[in-house]
Amino acid sequence: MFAKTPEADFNCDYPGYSGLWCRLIMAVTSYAMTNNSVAVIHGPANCAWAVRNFCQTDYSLYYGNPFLHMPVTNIDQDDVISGGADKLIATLKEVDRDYKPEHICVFDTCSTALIGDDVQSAIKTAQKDCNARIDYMSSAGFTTPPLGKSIEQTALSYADMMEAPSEKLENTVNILGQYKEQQDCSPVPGKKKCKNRRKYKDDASELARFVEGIGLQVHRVLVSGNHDYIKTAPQAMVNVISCPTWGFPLAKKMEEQFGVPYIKQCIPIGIEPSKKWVMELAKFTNKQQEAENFIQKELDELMPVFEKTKSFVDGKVALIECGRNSQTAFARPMALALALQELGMQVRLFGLHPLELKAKAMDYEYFMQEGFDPLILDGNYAYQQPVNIVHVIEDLGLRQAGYVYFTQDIFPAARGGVFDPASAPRVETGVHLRRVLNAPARGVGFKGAKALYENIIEAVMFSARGSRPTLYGRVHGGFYENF
Amino acid sequence: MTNQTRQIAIYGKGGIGKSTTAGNLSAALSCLGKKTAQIGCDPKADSVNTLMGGDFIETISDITRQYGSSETSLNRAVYRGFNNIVCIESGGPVPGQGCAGRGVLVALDLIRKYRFFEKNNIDIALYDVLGDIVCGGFAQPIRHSYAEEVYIVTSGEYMSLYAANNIAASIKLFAQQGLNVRMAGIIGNLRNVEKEEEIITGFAQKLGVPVVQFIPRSELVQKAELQGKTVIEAYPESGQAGIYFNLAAKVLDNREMFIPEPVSKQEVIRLLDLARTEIC
Ligand SMILES: Nc1ncnc2c1ncn2[C@@H]1O[C@H](COP(=O)(O)OP(=O)(O)O)[C@@H](O)[C@H]1O
Ligand code: SF4
Ligand SMILES: [Mg+2]
Repeated sequence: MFAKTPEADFNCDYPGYSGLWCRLIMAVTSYAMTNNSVAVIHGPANCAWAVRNFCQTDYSLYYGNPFLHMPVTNIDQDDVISGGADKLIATLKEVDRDYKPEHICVFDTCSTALIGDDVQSAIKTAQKDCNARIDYMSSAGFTTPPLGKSIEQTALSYADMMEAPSEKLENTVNILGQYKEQQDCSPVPGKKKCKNRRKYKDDASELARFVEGIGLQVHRVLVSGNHDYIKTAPQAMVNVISCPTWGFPLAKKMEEQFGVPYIKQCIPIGIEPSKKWVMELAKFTNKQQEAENFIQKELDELMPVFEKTKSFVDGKVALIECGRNSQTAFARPMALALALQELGMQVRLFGLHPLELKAKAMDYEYFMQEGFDPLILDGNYAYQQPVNIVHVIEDLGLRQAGYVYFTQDIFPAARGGVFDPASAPRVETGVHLRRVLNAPARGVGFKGAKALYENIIEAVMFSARGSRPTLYGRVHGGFYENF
Repeated sequence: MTNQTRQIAIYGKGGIGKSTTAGNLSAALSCLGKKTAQIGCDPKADSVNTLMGGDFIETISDITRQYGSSETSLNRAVYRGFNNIVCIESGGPVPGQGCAGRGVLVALDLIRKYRFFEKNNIDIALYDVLGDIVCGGFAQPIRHSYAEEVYIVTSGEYMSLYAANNIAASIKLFAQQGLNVRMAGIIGNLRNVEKEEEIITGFAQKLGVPVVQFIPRSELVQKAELQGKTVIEAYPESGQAGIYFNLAAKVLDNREMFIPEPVSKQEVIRLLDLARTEIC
């Protein structure tokens, strides 16, 4: 399938292909994970609305980013004719005055990029009158290659914000391709904040636990923190990687630019991948003994749950949905597949768009090099449309055989009727519902594996109930059965 | 019934004499009793200078930027020059910024939206359009429902013929796309190159269009220009004015339109070579 897939450096051959989230949306969303900073969008107000809508409905829901102010230069037709530099300069000064941020980043859009507005010179002019440091990230939607690539390009911009290290900090590690989730903050002022409400905290905390567990220190988790935090990232001894889509390109650039070495890694889910992740870092930093002790302690706790889960699913098929938004969720389904294989399951990935496969070649190649090459269902799936899981089950003749369905999207949660959690075991592993109390976990490392195992056990036991679908499922299920 | 405005576009290489020719043509047409409008489509915004006593007028771009796009803004951009000729400049950004082509498009849309020509009973509207067709914006005057009649101003020099050939190619393309835009002919604005008339005539024959008028180089043009006037206004009795009157009469009478057949760059050069060899 990989060989059949065309290269992903184009977009003109597939008009409309990469249109769901434009580069601007990805760029501003990543920047929104930084602190004391304001994103200024140089373009029409509607571009800002597109981004804000995305951040509010998706990201704040999943990750708890609070309400985002999103100043925009509000370019109109007259500005397209005469150039928008003056408006940008005025907006930057206004933002600096009113928000008093430490850092401002300018994002351009289709309209301002098409007329070739000189953003850099405008920034230079505004910088003289602003306290905040101002940077620029190229983000015009029409320059977007398939989404995986646009994330890669955006990630590189963060290296441009960094400075050559004046000193190296012993035993320190950066985690790249990760952010500190803000699940404990509420967008509603005064609303009660709840902590530890899930089986699993978050990926950054789990990876930090690994780092600290072998006697090292986390220097930076990127992308997050304020400008000083990002700027000083090259002081670390080594970079480790969580999500390769963000992490690899940034790690490579930091190595080229600042000589910070990196360890090539990919989201560790399950026992062996987690062990490997820890051991690689330990080897690099000479902490093998500490790592062995750490791993042993973790396994002592984890193995009973692992064995129990295995007894439930050994030999069954794992249907792993790459999801409607497969473009951002490829590395994770692959990592998940690896973890499920450990449990003795036969893994089948589906709903992955071939073009995205190439766009995210680095994720795929990582697993290939590891010798992991799972079955991917090569179906005729419409891009970014949910795959009808009922058809997949029937096509594969799985109804009797026994399977567990690992969903990637909120969509299946609405399904009922024939396909109901009470009759079909399913585990939500997508980013959705993350802020919902007791929502299923989607995690990395030993703690993530434990949460995953517990979810599998729950799903299988619940499906054995064989009761009538929920009221919600009965009301809405019919509609989804027929789509 | 409202009077149908004849809309004519004058194209040609920058500095070749479009505005000079357009200004004198407008002046002559108005003297022949036609209600005339001249619309400068060039960010330089100097098309109607010689009709306005040498003044630069405020452009549509300047005005809409300040007051927004409304009929009031459009009317603000309308000036009356020599013989009550309607003078408008589309304007545009300062050099090196923004998108001038978009400025032309917006200006023309405004004129159409508020039915300016109809409301003012304009008989003939002349669009004086920047140099070459560099992008879609500067092709606007000959796109949908604007000027369908194009005159190209050229001298016998290579660059000028080259630009004229490009414009002819655009006209052919638009005609093939089903637009009614046609070429009426070539206006030879002479620069005193040797065998210039022959070169231009040969070029016109290749394109399959007539040379409507040769305009000799004359110092009266510059003298009038220094006074902020057209030759028609400053030296109405002169031979040069007579030539512009001739051109006006031919334009008024002309009913023949052509789809030009552009030639290759090589052919343009060959035309020049031929003329030169004959000289030697
Ligand atoms: N027939 C002519 N005789 C003498 N000078 C001319 C003639 N036609 C144009 N010019 C001069 O050439 C210069 C450029 O002409 P202009 O009409 O402004 O060109 P364009 O509008 O094509 O850029 C003007 O200064 C004008 O005086
Ligand atoms: S940057 Fe371009 S693609 Fe993105 S929202 Fe704005 S106009 Fe749309
Ligand atoms: Mg001119």
